[in-house]
Amino acid sequence: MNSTIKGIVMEVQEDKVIVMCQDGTFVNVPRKEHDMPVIGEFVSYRMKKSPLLHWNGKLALPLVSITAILLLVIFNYPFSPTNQQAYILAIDINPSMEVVLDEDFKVLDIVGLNEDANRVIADLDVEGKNIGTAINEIVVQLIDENYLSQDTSANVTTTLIDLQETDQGGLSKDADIVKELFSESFIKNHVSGNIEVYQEKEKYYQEAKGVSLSINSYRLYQQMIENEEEVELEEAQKKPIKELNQMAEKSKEIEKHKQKESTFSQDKKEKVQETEEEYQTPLNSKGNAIEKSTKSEPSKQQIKKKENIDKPENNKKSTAEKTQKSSVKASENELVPSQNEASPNSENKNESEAKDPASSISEEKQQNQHDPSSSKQGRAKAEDTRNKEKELPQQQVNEDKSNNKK
Amino acid sequence: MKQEDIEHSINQIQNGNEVLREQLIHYYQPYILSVVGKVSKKYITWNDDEASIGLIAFNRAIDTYNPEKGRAFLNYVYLIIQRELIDFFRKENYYQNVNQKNVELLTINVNKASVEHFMEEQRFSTIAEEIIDLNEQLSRFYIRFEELESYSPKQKRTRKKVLEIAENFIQNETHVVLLFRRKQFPIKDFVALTNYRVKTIEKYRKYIIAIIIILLHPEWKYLQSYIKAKVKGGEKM
Repeated sequence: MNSTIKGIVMEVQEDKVIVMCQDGTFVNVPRKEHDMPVIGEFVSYRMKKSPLLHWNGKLALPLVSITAILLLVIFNYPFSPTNQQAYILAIDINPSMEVVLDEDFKVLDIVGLNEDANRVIADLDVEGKNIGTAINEIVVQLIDENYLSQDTSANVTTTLIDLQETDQGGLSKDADIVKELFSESFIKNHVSGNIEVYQEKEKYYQEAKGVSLSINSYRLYQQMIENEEEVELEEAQKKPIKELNQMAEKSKEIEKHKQKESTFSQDKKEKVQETEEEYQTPLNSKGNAIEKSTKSEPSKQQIKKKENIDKPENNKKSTAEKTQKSSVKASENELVPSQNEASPNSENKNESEAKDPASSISEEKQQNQHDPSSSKQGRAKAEDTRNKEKELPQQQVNEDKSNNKK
Repeated sequence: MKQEDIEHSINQIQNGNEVLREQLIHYYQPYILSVVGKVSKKYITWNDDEASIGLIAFNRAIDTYNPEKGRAFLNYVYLIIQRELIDFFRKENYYQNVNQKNVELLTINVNKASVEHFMEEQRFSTIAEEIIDLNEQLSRFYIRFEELESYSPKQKRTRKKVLEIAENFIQNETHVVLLFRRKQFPIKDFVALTNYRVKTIEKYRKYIIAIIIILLHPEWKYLQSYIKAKVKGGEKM
């Protein structure tokens, strides 16, 4: 605070000059070293005083205490457990929305991800309510707005995102509860629908946010990418979840076809398992392709089947492939003595090769009859995996040998 | 002290009244110290040589003061002290590094013998006179100027109110008499007659006394004008 003090000097002291101001008040001005006014002199000083210093001590104490209390309140606020975001429930029907939940599954906030959702949410007041009532109200609202109806069955995809790193087991239970809540509310409102509930970690949610897709759309998009479908990201952003779902269904069907083939080849693969790896055969590439595709989600059930069919060695192999590095290291040590064993096996291999191409070609022909476009993709896939194999032939040999040993 | 009083007492001193001389020196002590400090450009206490020079110069000023020459006494004192000090600095070889500027000021002062300059000097010495008087009066109440800052009202509204209190106070002569006899503010009697709160008066007590003293001396026109400027400010609100 800048203020000028004008007045007459009443007294000069060692450290201050006492001035009577023009308004009749007295002010003690700190004296500078070479400033020596005489009594009665008219002076003007420029004062630089902070407003805090200007106040007396009586005001300062409550002020300090109030600030301290305020600081305490502000810093305690984020630690209060009541408003902690614990889960996000992303619901995609056509309106995509996200329901933010706390630890006790009470609704903290509801966010619409597209215009339809915003319209629905505008009429909703679910904050602070339990998840069950919230879901029911959302469903009722969706029926009112004709997004759901009794005639057509709707596809509801929901994802429960865990914002806190808790154990998976608890979350999967929660997901089941969410599914039950939805189905209950559907039955109550006489609507039929297909409900899918997934659980994801926060990281996945952030990824989806990163490409500005709702999490469920992002999952479908990922699936389609894995199935080698050509999908542009922008396209995925524009299209509503329904269409994406249809697209994904299509790609799933294609995938199923492939998997049928792959189960065939899997059986054969077992027979030639001990000898197959040294040379690259079409079968080999196919077999690998299977294992690649098993990682993608839609074929989970089929993997299980396969795993049941597979011999224990084969199981080991697939796990060995996942932890390639460690197994490579282990097998390198064993490589020297086992080299002699490898050469007799190679004869068997040649035999199996002779069989395999024929069978695989016939499969491809079958596929051609089913769907010409899918075979193209199949071929492309085969090429792709072959390329990958070229990079790692040595490793595979090693793995194979280690498997043989076991 | 009024100009006539000063002239009268100086005349007595010049005729040999030593007691009055002591009183006058004692009375003007703060002014002497202030002038010495001003000329020396540093803070001076009674332990410094300059202060003794100032006292000697003041003593000489009493002996040599001639009111017929048209100078105010304090103005004359200022000149004498300044000259004596410059002589002293010359002797001490202080002159070159410390007081170059003062000599220049002195010469300017001498050359600037205009009516305006004369008026300014008169005004200056009158104010000094008033302040010294006020200081002397306040010292009877054990009030020092430096204390008054903390007793001064900070806001315009309270300033107006405090002045109102002081004006009300001097209306009642018995209160004024009580104040000067007891050297204390008769809070109880005053509050009994008026509706002011004891707390307010206690808070600004010393400042109120200072204002009452100023208001009781209408001859202090400069200090009065400061108080009145304040009234104007209050009315503007």
